[in-house]
Amino acid sequence: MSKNCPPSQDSTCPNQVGANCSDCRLGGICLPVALEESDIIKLDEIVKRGRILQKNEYLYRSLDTFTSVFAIRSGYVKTYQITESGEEQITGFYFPGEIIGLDGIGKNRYVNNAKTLESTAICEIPFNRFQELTMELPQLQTHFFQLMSQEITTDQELITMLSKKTAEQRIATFLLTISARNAQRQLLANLFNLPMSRTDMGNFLGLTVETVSRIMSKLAKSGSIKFQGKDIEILNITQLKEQANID
Amino acid sequence: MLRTTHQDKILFPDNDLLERYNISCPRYTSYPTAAELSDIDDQSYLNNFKSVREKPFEPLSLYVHIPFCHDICYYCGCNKLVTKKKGIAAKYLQYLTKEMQLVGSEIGRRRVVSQLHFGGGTPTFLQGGELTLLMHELSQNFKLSDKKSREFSIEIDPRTVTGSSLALLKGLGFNRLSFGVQDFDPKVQAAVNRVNSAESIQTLVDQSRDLGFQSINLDLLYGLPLQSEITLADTLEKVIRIKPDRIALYNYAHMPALFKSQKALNKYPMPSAQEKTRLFKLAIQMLCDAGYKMIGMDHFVLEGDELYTAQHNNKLQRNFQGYSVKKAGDLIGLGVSAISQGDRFIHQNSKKIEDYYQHLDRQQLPIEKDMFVDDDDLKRRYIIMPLMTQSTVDIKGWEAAFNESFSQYFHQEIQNLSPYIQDELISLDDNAISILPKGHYFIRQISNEFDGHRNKSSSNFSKAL
Repeated sequence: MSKNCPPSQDSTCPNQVGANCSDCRLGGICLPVALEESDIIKLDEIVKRGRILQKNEYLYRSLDTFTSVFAIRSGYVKTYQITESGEEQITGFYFPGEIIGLDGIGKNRYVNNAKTLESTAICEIPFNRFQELTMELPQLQTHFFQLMSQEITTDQELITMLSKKTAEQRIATFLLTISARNAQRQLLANLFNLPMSRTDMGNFLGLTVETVSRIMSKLAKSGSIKFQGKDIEILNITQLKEQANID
Repeated sequence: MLRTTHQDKILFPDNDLLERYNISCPRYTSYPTAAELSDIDDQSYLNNFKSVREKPFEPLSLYVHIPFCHDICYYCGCNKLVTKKKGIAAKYLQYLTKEMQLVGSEIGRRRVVSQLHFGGGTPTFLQGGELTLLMHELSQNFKLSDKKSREFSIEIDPRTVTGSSLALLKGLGFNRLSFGVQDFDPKVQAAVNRVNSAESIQTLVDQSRDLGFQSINLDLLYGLPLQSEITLADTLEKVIRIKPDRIALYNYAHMPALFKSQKALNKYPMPSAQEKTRLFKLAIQMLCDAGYKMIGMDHFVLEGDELYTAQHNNKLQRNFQGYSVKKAGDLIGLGVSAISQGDRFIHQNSKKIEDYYQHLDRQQLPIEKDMFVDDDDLKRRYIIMPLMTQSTVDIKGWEAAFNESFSQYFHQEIQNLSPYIQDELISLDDNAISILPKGHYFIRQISNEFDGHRNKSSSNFSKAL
């Protein structure tokens, strides 16, 4: 199994894809976070572990019947919808330890398309069985819906940001969000790599690629960040927050 | 049709009128009122749900009661539980879910829920995950509308929310917010134990607007201790600067024998009916000068607001949650003490949380009180609800609906109205009863003349003024 594992720039060990929830390094931020040691075993029993998807493979497509939610083990996933005019609109990027597929719960069909940005290992959690388990483990349910509420909040805040903020504020906010998500996963908050292309980043933020490149250079020139290709270093977080217009 | 709801059409009564007409009577959020409910002795309430199920194509209104509060507000007359206990809400949500499943299996999932209201207590006592779970369970058991025209509202204690929690509410499908402000004067706030600054409300209202909430309401109270015309003017200036779409300015009813938390306010002198009238008059002038239109008894809205349009088109509705735009014939209340109402019934859940839990533990609906709405009630409802919403009643419409003579059926009531006519509070002819400019202040009393259940339990109602 481990031989097939993709190389990952993430510090999460890619060779761990077969690990149980109780041994998984991401347990601290993923679903088991709410559970006692003995209950994690129950979760383990329903999780289908370690499926590996190649770059640009679909996890699910819009309107597919909702069956499972997924935890990202390593790699990155983007979600998008196709607009009425047939264009791709990116709705989110997902990092290791994060849960994806929550958009299907309301209507029993996935709303978004979910596609990998690079080779990605996922754990699949069949939702029917998960729901049965939450009856038994109410704290798991609480945690799950807490994750879902964060997801909904982030979505709404994104919509609001896109309608209000300038290009510079959007990009600064975006970088700060990723930094915070890294910190939550006990990764470096000020030194990370952006898994998505500049095109995807622009699409997500409602900006052209040119604008993304121009603003990135501007932020670098101001001394807030340093970047080379996809590698980003935040040099002055206070200043970046000011540029994001975050108090 | 005569309309008496603009400020230039309201005349303020003199002290003599105030004294003569200051009786105790209901606020008529429904007719019959919840005071007429009696303890149930069988499961006849199942017929209530059957009648709801039998109208699959009509919209449905849902109310969800969240009884918990972090702190006590002394003016409060709601069913509530002040607590800091962890996990208490999670347990309540489990029971609410059980109730939803039981109710859902009685009424089916066909009716589209076009109105949803979370009230309390403090709905925002719930954590984000809990609110999300609650909405998820509601969507599993009922068919929630996803149309833009739906009216999904929630009462907000401004001290419990941030921009992020408002974003969550938007994402969960709410499109209206009601912030409980009550008063901005520091002394009044301290007396009633509810402190918020105008700045914090301004920030929340701005954030709500950025998030795209369509209708933002501020709740205010007049007649609280330590309020004067000076403090109220100051509060209203701040409110006008915040510019909510809607303002509800309720008359504080001091009834400590009924609502224990109000006992804490006994140490203050309470304003007289005359003083309260002066406060209300001041409020109407200030709000109308600032561009608000008065609708119903105690609501003010900006001209662009759909409640104004609804009243203008004689479509304004009233139910336990106040005024609304569209008619959702039946209301289902979920949670402790919640009231449900249909054409022919009103029933109420257990008021004590222990009893509510006990019923559900036995797989029973937690309904404790019930009443059948008979033909006489319907005939009176047809008079009272339009009085409360449109300030006028179409007599010919009544006669066509019930196929009998209005003047014969309400012979006694019409006689009782003669002082109101003499005092120029109302006009009455073959076509309509209309509230006159001087009578607007007495809508509750005028409605009360048509109440077939009055005199039985009047001491439980607040003074109208």
